[in-house]
Amino acid sequence: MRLTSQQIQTIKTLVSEVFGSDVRVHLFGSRLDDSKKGGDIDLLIQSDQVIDHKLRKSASLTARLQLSLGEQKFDVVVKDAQTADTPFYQEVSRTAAPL
Amino acid sequence: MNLRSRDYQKLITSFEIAEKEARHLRYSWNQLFEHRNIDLTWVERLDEEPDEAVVLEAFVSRFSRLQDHIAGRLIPIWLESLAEQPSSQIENLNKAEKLGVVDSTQDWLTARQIRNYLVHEYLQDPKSMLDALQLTRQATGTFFAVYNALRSYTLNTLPDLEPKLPPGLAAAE
Repeated sequence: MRLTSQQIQTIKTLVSEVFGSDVRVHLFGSRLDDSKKGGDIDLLIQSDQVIDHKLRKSASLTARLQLSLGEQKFDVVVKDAQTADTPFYQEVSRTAAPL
Repeated sequence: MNLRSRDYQKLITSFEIAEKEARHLRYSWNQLFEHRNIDLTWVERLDEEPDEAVVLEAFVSRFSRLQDHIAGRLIPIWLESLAEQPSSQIENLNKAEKLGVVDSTQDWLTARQIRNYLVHEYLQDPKSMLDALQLTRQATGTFFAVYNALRSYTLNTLPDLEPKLPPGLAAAE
């Protein structure tokens, strides 16, 4: 996983500020591949409950991440109790690593 | 023309562009939010209502254009006019926040994310789409306020530019 422990801590803190402490945070995508360089930071936020205003919250999280970690590309995906379990989420869940 | 007045010409031009963009955005904003009832039903029917989708398209495009112009051009040129060194977009916004022309860099970046959603996740999820539209509705007013604040700040520091700058904007809503 190509994130520093400080980056991971910042991500976890900001996620719980925006989504509360009941959600799980996973990293997926190219940052899991140690042989690559740079790239988007893809985050999966998961909850068994329904999360209100998913879009608003993920946009706010991305803004906070950019302010704290710099102007890089973050892709925040939120999966709650109402999100359909599409092949996209199945693939993401299979490969994602918890933070 | 010396270097300073050339810089001011850049600043004046950037204000002129922003003011035009804002006027056209206001027109689209009115078309969307004053003349229509934007609710879940409206969003769900967009796929079969290409004329309505055009109205939405114009709004999103003009919203993006003004936001990009203010953050990407007007603020950096304005900072230069104050002898500040422009830097990354976030740094420029932070400086603008410190100088009191932008209320919240975080809200500005959030609005940018929301508009990226409207552009790239087009008609994927009606509920989120409606949420996004409500946020862009409010953010339009923020853009107009930032334009006005930049204009007032400039007139305080460079009063000679008064006859050259385009007018201030009436608040949205």
